Amino acid sequence: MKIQTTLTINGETHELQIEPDRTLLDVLRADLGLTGTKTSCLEGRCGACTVFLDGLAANACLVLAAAARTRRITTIEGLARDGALHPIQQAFIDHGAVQCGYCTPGMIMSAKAMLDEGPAPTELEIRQALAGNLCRCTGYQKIVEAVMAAARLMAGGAAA
Amino acid sequence: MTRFEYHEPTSVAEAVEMAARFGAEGRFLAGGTDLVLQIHRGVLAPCHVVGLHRVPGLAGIEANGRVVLGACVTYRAVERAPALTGPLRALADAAAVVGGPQVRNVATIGGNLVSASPTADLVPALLALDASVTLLGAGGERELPLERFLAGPGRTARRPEELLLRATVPPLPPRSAATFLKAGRRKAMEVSLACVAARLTLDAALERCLEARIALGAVADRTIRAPAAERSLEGQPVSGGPLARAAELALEACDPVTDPRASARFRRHLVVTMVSQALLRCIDRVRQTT
Amino acid sequence: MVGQRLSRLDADGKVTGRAVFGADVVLPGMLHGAVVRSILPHARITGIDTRRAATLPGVRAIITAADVRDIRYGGAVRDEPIFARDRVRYVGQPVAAVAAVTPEAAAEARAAITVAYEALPAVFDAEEAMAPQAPLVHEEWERYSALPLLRRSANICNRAQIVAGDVERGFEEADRVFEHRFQTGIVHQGYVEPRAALASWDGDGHVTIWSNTQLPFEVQGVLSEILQVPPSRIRVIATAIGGGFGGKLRLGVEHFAALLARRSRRAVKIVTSMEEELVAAYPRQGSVIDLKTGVTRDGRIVAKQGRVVLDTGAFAGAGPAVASVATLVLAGPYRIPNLLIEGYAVYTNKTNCGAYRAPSGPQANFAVESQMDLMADALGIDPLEFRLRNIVRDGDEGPTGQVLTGVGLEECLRKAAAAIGWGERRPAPGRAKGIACGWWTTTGGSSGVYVKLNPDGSVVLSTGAAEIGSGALTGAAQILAEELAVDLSDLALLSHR
Repeated sequence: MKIQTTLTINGETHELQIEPDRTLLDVLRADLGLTGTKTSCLEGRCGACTVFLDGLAANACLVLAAAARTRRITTIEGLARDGALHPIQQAFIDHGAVQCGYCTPGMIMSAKAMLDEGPAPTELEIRQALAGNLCRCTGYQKIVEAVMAAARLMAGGAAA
Repeated sequence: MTRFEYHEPTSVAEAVEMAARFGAEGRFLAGGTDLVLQIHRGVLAPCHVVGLHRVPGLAGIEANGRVVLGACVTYRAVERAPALTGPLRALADAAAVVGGPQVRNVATIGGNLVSASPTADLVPALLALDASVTLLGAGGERELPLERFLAGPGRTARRPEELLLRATVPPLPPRSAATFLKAGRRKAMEVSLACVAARLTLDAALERCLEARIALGAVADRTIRAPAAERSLEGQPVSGGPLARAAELALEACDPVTDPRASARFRRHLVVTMVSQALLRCIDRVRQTT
Repeated sequence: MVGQRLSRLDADGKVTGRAVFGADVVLPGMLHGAVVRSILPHARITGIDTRRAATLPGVRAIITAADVRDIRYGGAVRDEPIFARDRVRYVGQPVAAVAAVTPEAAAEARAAITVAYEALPAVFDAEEAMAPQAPLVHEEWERYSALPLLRRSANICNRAQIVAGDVERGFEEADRVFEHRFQTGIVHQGYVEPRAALASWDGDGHVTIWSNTQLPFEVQGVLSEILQVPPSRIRVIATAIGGGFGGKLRLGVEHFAALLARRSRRAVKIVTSMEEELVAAYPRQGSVIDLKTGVTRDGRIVAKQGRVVLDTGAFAGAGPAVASVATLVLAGPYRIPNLLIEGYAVYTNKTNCGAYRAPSGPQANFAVESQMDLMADALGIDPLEFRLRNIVRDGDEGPTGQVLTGVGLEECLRKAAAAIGWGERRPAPGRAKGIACGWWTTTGGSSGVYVKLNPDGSVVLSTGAAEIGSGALTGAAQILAEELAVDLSDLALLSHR
């Protein structure tokens, strides 16, 4: 039996009629066309489905959409402003941190959650922040470099 | 995915009333990282899911002598709680090595306790700190020592109509310290191969053990204490011999399995090594902070 | 343009989440497909009951072997049916497929289809499968059509061999003979994105398939056989691909999507689950490798005899080709006057295996180089020195008679050794250093692209190359932009047919 659910995503509200057992991931992708959040393990192990709930990174595959109605949800589509890429997104492009690109939205979200909390992470802190995001292509090195560069830029330094 | 009805009570009383009504066909939903997964896998098929997000009073951490952790406190909150200092840092240490950030932001200690996985990480830390859990049902509240709450793999003493409210850690004697150690194949997103929590209380000279607690995870059908090992340390000098003996006695308390992650033999090796290390760290911590 | 370090042309889409991957494609009114798979490793199918599934709400099509052509397709050996017809040969083999209005309805319908099986003796070990009395995975193997140069027999779907000189005489000349056995397991490529396909037929018998395949033309060709439709009526559009590593080279679920779409007269989308990926994909073959090597006292290899047994699972897949390449890789980049290497691809009742980046390379190089170190240790010769005494040189004839040119192996080894401070082998307790070398083949073939010049001066490049993350499409665009002297911004890239 469907229930009325209002979800606030990237600042917009969406009125939906959904089955209560649907996950946030499924609703984002199938009902709202927000396919930037990726589907992979569906077990909360790979991080490809990382979104923010009130600014905190979470795996959308394990969140019931109905239980997310009180939360402020942010997806990868909500990062760019007026067509301008977020510095983290730009850094991923500039530092060759994108290979197949499937882990990329999740990685960027996890990186942003960390950088929004503290501006000058060490390499270890970056790797720990990305510990819930699996990449099979890059070996992580360039992703870490991109996040370091974005951190410097966001803290007011020059992009390296 | 199975079909269920979803409910969002706005008070503890309403949540308990729903639990009484739904009985075994209902499950509480906190973070969901375990419940949603088990439903997705077809392991659990509740007809009613009762979300706890809008129930006030379940997500607080209080610390004044004893420490009270609400059932909906997330691992993230435990990890960062300023109140968890001194021996209680072991709880924060345990919370910090569970899963990854996405899991810790959402998963709760209540969920960890109720799902009662034999490999749970917070549970050994709570057990070594003599924690108790408080359950609320239609008949009122009851408080249980954690050891009595854990009944087997995935089983607890919670009745289907009861809501887990909080875990309480009593004040520790002076000159106490606790440690938590986790062994895994990697540093994150890992289920413990074995985990150990220990608490030692030393005498005024900081040379003898007055009280000891050793809790072991992932090496039995539930998180266990090692009572013989604990007793063997009481009154003993905290030096090589007694510590080694305690580690050997802890080994006798466990009954690990061989599974795709590790062999029973390796797990036994881990227990002996980690119990020794945990005890040594406790001693160091007491001496540093006293 | 060529040689410049440019940002990937597809990077913007990937950092914003706008890039369309296999599971992202949608069409209005599309159905969702699910595949029923065998739960036994080897069994006769005695009945398939779809009646209850057909009555479930939202179910629009159910197909089994009875609804499709009785053909076999495949790579080197055409042994694969579309659905298992009277026999299943591995856990996970497709038996039926359903399409329904939601993924949940499709999953329910799938669960409601009951298949009756009579278990048959199964074989799970490749060496056991090679034995004369082993149960046959394919009783009718002789009737399959296959590449003429394959040597097949019972459960062996290829036997390849390299022979040079006379190994028996070589072993007599040797001062020491070493024998070792190495084993490796089945490994899935572990791409983060599951395989997916969306198929849609138009009124004229043309079908469009969106798929995250690495080989759109290959998919087009096989679909033509399966659907009995000329390739010109099959349009395969390669989506962005979330990792392939060889695992997305062959047909995934495109044929089921197309068959269900034709039956239901609606577009059908299928996304593979991770459980399906780990049960019924194209992982790397497990192997058993035996190496017998004869060396002189002063560390020269005089003879090598090797055998690679690849467990290629219930269908040949890439096994025969990989077995052949394995023999070359197993020779190792060394001068070996007497050589006898055999490579076997063997059927077992396990998931059929395919190609995982440098197929047979990891297995064979692991064996060769491990043995080199073991021999060096036994002979008391430095492992680097031992290799330098035996590596191939420019102008040498390789094991298959090819004259090797441009061989930089010595320089490479010496530079690598210097870079890791080879002189200080054990710098600290619990730390050590190792060095190894190996070789891998490259293949050549013809390729073509379509280039269209638009009236407004912009260019469209249509290529069968796939972007799995290596930047191939950006590279192709750079080359074309330079040749035509246009800006990259005036160039549109299409990867499809």
